[in-house]
Amino acid sequence: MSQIEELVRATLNDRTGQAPSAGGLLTAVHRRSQRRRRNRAAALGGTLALAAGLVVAGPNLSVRIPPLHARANDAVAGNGPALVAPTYRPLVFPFTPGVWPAGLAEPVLDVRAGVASMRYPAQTRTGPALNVSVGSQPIDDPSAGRQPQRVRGHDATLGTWQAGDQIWLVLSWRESADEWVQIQAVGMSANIVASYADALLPRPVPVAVPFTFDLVPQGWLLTSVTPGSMAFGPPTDPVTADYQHQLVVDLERLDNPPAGSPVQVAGRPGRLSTSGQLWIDLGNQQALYIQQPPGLGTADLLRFAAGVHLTPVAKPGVG
Amino acid sequence: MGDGFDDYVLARGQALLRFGYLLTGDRHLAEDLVQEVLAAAHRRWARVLRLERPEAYLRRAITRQYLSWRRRRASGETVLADLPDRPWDGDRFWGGDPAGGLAARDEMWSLLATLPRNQRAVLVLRFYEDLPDAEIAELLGCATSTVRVHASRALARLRTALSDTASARQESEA
Repeated sequence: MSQIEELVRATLNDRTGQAPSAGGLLTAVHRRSQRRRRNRAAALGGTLALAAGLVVAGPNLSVRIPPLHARANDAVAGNGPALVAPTYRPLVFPFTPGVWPAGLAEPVLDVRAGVASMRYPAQTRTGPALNVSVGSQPIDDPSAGRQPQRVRGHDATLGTWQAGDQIWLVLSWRESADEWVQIQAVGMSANIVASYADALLPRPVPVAVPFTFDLVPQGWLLTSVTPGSMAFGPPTDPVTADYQHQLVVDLERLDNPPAGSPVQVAGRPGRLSTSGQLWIDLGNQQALYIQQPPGLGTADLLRFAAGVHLTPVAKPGVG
Repeated sequence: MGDGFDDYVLARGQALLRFGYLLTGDRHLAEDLVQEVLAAAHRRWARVLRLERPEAYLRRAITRQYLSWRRRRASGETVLADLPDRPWDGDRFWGGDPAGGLAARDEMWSLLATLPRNQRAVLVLRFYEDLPDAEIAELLGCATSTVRVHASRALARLRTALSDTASARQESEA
């Protein structure tokens, strides 16, 4: 590190001592949060008062919308996509495992924010586990002490990463121009991890979906799939890890219903919050949460929700 | 709201304020920035918690808020023109003690305030957060090469400005 870099580092660390105190931060955040909520409601309330008892009807669907307070995302309703029968492209994990290291459980596939993963969860707290992630960008490597390796004919690095009391091996390499791969493993040797990597076959595996849909926003892409969630986003928006501006469906264990106006979705009780979260009681200790994206009006959100069906692989609370 | 939001703010709020302060260089603006981001996160806290690294998400939000917020106020900003890189004799400035000179750090803090926002953000993320360039690029929404360019230009600018200060000081002492 050069002298100038050392000085920048020393200066920044030195100045942290002059940062404001967090003493009143929580109170200020709550105050601001309440103000945002009030402002949003006030700004939208005048123009978006929905008529009492509006009924939206369609096949297999009867959604009654009681009088509602304005919701943030209604501001742009009407400019959003039409709901159509789904034609979205399914997501895949690009490799098929060629070997199965001893002691690993059945893998679970998911795709989040453009990164496809195959995860072999540990069967016991100290048992072996392995995750393979593939993305079109370099994947954040949390490891230290990285050493050069050769994997599948490519340059790679192998480092270690301490998570709690476990030390994980992290093997990273670039498979092709737009394909970066990382394996994180615990409870197995570096040789086994390298063997697993070398044996990966370039045969895509479809990621099983927890839901099917009667209707989806026209032209939107399926962006994320986990055993308990799916997300769609407009093709113009980048896929981000925070699911901002996306239509997200989560299956969760039944919790206390969130605050919001009561609604009926396909005969099931639900609540719709002013911030655009729809909650539906599925009646079997499970609930669906659906995040309303900008542009999708409330009536369309409820039509969409009424057409969500669970598949046998759906698993709550994992997304 | 029994979702851990309050506990999180109590535990990590100070760290986020430190980060905000280094980005903005202003205590009041740092408070404004962090409060704004946390208030937005409060509404969707359950989802934030489900991310693998909630704190990384918040720091990304703070950085983006800072960049867009600075952009909205950019008309009042004073930005130095690009200056040519040239050799800099650090010993002449701080007598061979790069990290130890209080005057040098004060001078550096003032100079950091003159950097364009992207350059300053890159320096804070690289030298305070210790993030690799690829992660900084992802956070700023640009290419890794752009991060390197920002860092290189920022360091060149600081080096040149410090060199000028040291020369002026020597001349006044002579």
